[in-house]
Amino acid sequence: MRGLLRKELSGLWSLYRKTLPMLAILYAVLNLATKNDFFLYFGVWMMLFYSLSGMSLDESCGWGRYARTLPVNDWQVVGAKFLVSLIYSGGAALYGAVLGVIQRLFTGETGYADLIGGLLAVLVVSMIMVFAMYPVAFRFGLEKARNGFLVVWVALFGGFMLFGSRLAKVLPLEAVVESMAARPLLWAGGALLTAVAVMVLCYIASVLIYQKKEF
Amino acid sequence: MSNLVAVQGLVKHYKGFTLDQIDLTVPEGEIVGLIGENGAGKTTTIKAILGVIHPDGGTIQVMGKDPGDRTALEKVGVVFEDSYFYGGLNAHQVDRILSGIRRDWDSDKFRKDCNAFDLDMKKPIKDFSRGMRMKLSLTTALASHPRLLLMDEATSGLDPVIRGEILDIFLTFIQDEGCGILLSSHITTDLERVADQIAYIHRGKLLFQQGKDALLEETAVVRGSAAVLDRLPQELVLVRRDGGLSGSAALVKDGAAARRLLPDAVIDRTSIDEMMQLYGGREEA
Amino acid sequence: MEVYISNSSGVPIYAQITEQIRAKILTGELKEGDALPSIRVLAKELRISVITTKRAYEDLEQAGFINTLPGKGSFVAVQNPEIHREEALRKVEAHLTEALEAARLGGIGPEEVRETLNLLLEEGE
Repeated sequence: MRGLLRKELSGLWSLYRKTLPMLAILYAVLNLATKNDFFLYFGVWMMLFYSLSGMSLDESCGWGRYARTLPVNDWQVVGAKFLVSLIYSGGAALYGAVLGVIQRLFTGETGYADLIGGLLAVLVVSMIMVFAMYPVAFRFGLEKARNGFLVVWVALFGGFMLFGSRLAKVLPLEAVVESMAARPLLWAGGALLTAVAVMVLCYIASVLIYQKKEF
Repeated sequence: MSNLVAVQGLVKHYKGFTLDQIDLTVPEGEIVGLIGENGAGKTTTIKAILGVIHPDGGTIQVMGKDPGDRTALEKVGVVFEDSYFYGGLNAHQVDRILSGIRRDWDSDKFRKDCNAFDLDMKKPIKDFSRGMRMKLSLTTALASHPRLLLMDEATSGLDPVIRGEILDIFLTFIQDEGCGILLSSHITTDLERVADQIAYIHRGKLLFQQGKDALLEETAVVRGSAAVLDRLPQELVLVRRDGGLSGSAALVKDGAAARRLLPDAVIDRTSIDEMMQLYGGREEA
Repeated sequence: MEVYISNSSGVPIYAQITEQIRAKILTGELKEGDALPSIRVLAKELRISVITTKRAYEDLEQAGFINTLPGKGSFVAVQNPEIHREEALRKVEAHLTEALEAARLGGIGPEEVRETLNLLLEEGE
């Protein structure tokens, strides 16, 4: 398992060796300059999507076929990928938290709760998205999965634009927001649990799909 | 002497192609050469042995275990035609990765072999020439001290010098009588020298698996007019081609017997290449 | 010990090995008790199949030229002078047969052949 993790990490690192440090610095600068946490959130999102790229490396060099000749089982091969996605997103979230704290210390603003809340929200949403992409990518390839999800996102966004105001009237949005403000921990815990549940389900689905694959 | 690989009645269906009842063994201490035209089913057979694909019928045992069994795979080294680590990685990283996967990975041996082959361990794999990539794949396969080495068309496109070096590596590997090699190759001259047995897969079927010496000594090609060749008994003739200025040619099982029957015909020793050309390719001649 | 293989001689490789080792034993280049390389090492050095070298050694053992001890290897056997004599006789017979064939083709009769033989034998003494 150790070796598999090393493989995923070194593959991604060789792809993004220059990009990651650049982005890290860029986001830090932008965050300090605009005092807007948006870039920190965006960083978490980006890192999760980057972590998926490992799959395109595999597809291009016949890794799947070789992995079947190694003494590792499919649970480990798929698990290594999920772990790396977690590492990337966790790392980005941590980095974002650190930057956000530094920014607040410099500028004297507070709003730590917003920072944590924002990071958490982004983490949960992007985790759900990316982990949901895994089984699709294993089944149809990374390209198709990406395109498919892009279409889904555009549809959701478009739907939101078109029907958002009407939905807002129907759904109990104000009640939800009030509840969130009143019991943040409950909502945070619930959101995290949901993300974890999605991750576990997607993991199992991915392994089942992967087991049937022939290389 | 037991079998490292025992394949019995292997069947696999693909669209447009079927692997039909393949029997194959790789005994300890031997090099089995696997020949067959492109698309004949050699790679499919090797994949089934490794557990990369699931057969539709038949049984396969690798060192007494099912294909894909982890304890068996610890002792199997594989070299496919193309490299299987992302080209942006280098040999040093490969070492780190596999030492965390294979129980018996020997980093010292890996590094020593890389040095012996002049492989820069810090250089990304994609910057290696084809020959160097092949040597790296072989070094990788051997570094965990496997008992079974599976090579699938690994030496195509390499210059004769490198192929000679690789042949020597195989022969050194076989010095240990508990080890064996399954070598799928188009370089039939290598097999004619070094293989102990030859297995021929042709259009999804196994034509034979035989000791190489006996095969090359006894099999012969008879050339003459169709009328002359008609006098050969059916059981002796393996395959026959008629027509053209060169007349008819028949591949016979027993050249000595053919000589006794047709003392005036042209009867030659044959090579694996010639045998395969007589059996023909993908379509009926 | 060195063995030279010809790929194009038409003689099977195992027979070439048997012949060359036999010759070395008969000329004394390989002495009684000398160890031969193992079949695997020989196969590796000559770049041929192990089955080939195994067969060569088996033939040598059957003909009484070598002994193979399991686990220890192969050694030149105690040579029976009879075998050497038989070998020499075989060669004489072969050469004489050739000579007679040449005589027949050249139209040289048996009397002339015997004369020539006696002359040569006298010269030799």
